Amino acid sequence: MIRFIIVRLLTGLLVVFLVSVATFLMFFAAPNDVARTMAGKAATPETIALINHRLGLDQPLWHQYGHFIWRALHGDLGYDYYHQRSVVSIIKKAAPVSLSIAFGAAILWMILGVGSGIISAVRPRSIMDRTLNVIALIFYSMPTFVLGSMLLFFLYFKLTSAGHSWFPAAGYVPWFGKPDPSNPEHGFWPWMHHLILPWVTLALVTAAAYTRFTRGSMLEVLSEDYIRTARAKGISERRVVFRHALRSALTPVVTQFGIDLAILAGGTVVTEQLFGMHGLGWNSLTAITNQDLPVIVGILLVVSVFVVVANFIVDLVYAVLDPRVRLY
Amino acid sequence: MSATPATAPPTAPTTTVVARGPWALAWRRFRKDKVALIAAAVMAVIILVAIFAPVINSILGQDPNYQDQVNGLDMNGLPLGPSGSHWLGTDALGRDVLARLVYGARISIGIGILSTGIAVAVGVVLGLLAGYFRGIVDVVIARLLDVVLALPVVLAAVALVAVFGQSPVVTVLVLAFFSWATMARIVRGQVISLREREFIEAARSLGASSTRIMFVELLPNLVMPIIIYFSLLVPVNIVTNAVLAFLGLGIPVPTADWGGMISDAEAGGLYQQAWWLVFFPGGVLVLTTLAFNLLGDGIRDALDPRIERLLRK
Amino acid sequence: MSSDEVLLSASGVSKRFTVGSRGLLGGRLQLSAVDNVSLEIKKGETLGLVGESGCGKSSLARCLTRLYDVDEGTITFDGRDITNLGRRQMQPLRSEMQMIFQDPYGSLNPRRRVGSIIGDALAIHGSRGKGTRRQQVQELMEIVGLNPEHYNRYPADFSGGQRQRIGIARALALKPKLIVCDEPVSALDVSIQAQVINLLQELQREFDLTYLFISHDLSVVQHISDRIAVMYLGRIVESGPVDEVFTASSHPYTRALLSAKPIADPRAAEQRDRIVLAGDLPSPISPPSGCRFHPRCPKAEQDCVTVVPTLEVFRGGGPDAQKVECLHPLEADQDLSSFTPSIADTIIGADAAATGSREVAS
Repeated sequence: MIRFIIVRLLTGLLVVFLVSVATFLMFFAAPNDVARTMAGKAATPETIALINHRLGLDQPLWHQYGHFIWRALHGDLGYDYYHQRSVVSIIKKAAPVSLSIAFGAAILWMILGVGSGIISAVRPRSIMDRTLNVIALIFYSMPTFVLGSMLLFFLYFKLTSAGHSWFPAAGYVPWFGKPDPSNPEHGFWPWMHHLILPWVTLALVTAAAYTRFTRGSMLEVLSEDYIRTARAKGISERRVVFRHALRSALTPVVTQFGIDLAILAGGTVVTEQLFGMHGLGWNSLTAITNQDLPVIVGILLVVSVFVVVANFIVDLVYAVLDPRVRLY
Repeated sequence: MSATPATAPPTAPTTTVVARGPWALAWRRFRKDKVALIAAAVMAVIILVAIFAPVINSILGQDPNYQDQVNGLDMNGLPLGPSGSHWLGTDALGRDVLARLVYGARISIGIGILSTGIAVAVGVVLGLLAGYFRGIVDVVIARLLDVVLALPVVLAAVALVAVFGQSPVVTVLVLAFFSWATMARIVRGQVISLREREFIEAARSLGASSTRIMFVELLPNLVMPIIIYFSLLVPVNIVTNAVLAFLGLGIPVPTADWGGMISDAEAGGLYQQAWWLVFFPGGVLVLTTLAFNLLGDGIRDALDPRIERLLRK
Repeated sequence: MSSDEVLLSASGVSKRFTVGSRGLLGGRLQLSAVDNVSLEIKKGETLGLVGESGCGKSSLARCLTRLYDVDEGTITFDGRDITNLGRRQMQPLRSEMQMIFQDPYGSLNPRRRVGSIIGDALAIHGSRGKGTRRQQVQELMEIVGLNPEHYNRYPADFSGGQRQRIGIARALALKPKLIVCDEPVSALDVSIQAQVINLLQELQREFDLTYLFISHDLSVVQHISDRIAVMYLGRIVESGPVDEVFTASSHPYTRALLSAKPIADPRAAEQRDRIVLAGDLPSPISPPSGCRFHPRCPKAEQDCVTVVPTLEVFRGGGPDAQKVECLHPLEADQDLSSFTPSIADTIIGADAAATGSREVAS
């Protein structure tokens, strides 16, 4: 077991290293010229050279990479090109937003998806099963932003115009901490209130995928001989499903969750854009218009590391569920 | 001695038993699946629309880029809903929505299929190499896979577009970049288990070269997962392309792309006045994805009817 | 029938595998699959290779055909040393030695048509074109007793026996000099076994083939072989002309093995003395010291624990000599069941000490 953990840990570190190199290299594949943009059109070559020097862009590659990593490990991811705000501070402000969206949605979709998948599998071909299947299929084929737009349209726009403003328009409201001076709301319920639509948007689509997936996995496991033996022994169906079948059926679901973590990060970008929440994704998008590479690369690096760490945890959970993996 | 009979005794009718290969059997199963057939028909229509987009548009008498100042906008310069001259309404610049949808089909489907094709080709080759040769080749490719799969797709796409700019080529390559990894992983896994089978040993004992073993022996055993994955991946790439367009990272304006159309509609809350600008592109997108998904399900069931048997119990 | 010319010879061949998971320090266990094996196969003959499952027969076969690289020893084929040849150099030789595999279901690629499978060797070693290849393949199919019109079918359409015929046709395609048959009939029903064995014999006569016939089934081996070699735990313990070995075996293991051979006549079966070997086949990862058979040998003596015997001529001379690897081989008239080991370091000894009796089936 220890060996398993160590191997996974080292692999994770290697991946983080490679990701950092890849993200770092993006700075240099960019055909743009930052110094020139910053200096303006009328700048002299000396000014440009000065800016280059200040930004450290005139040193050899591996040197710059070394600086980059050194600073990153000390919590400094550079400053954005235009307003000189530290990237770390941008991330610190934006991260809670993205995390709120992501975690809430993840919990919601797991409960919805896995739950309905199990229900479907336990009563195959029943009305419940067929209805769930059709619903799942439709939502599964809907891209997040289409669903989000429609939800916004119906649940926000139409309802509000009709006088029932159950759902807020947009914007994120923090649970803890100081709110925006322009928007003094904060606290648990406002936080949830603003997050319901984003959560539902993000969760429904993925839940649909998980419904199908869990159903398939459960069906396969329930047809195994050892389940048949358990039933023949007279064990109640409930115990058969929850104590015996679920464990094996869930392992592929857990694997899938690990894979989906990276996709989750992407889904939050869309949700943030749709609902006007200033999370990590939203910040990256606005940074693109300015070609503000430090922000983009910094966010990418942090999120990638997060995905690797999360995958590591998922692997551990998988090892707990499936002892065979530990013999690695 | 008896006289020879006037007629020969009647022979029993001979029944020929025809052997059907696995593909023929799969095709028969597919033909019985009504849902899959409908999905295939819908898909065929969409693909035909995509291919013949300019022809269709000229038949309809509309141009996706033409800004109809006369009939396209109302007095306040806002788009009009479905009407006689513009069946599905117009967008913010007075362009006909239907024409843009038709043309958008070309782009969305084209990019979806092209990027999937590239991803599958690259993924299969690298998966074969990694799985068959193992050793250092496998280590390198496996690490590469880990890195690509760890990158959050949309964020990395944001970064890549920031670096390389917006263009159809970049979009196709970015989409392919994120999809080859899962194919490679699947192929690699299959190859690792296949290479221990006796028929591979037999091939080696006959003196087959590694290339021959990979492409003549292993590849036919991979065709099924390849087809299944391809059918899964095309809708994913179509959707991802739409997402990129929605975020403003896709093909630059004014090209009509379904995701881009929705993005334009979101700007400034325009959709609140003009619901058709979100519903029609959104609806078409969902319909296409749904058709592909159902077709993919049908293909999978036809090729591997295990689940069907499970359900019949 | 068989000349005295040696087609394939092995001298001191050993093959080890590393197995098991790495300990914290990276150490792994060594499995000795083949240990210091020497044998000769003469042109035109059939050499039978017998032994229990796990004794190393298949590994030896793969070493001889260079599917594995050997760790020690030399292999000579048709006068040429092939021990260390690279893939390029082995390539032309591959058409001269072929292999037939045990599993009729696993040894054929399920996704290829049988015509294509049989024609593999022709395609690899440069036959002229698809047309001529097809013709040759169909001829081969007829020779092995298959319907040439089934050229385009998949292996799944054939029965086990027919699949083995396909495997035989594949091996025969380039008219090789040597065919290694790795348990070719073990997976088949007995009636089908007879058909396939007969086919193999016919083919040997018609194409002047040399066979290395591996099996754990003694009756089959007796029927088809000219000479026979008996393997135990990676070593050859006895070899010689098949009739002599079967009637007057000298190694205790061979004696015990032969006594276990099923006899059709129930009365005769009742009357013979069965020698039941105590214990199981030891693990090849840590084989017993000295003579590898000594813990189970009813005849073991003190020197068997420490001295490793070598394969030496026991009776007769020349190519038809009977060789045995034993420090105290049995004479023809000695009865193995009358012996008790004189040392304590045997399973029998331990059993006898514990229970005070010895098993003899009567």
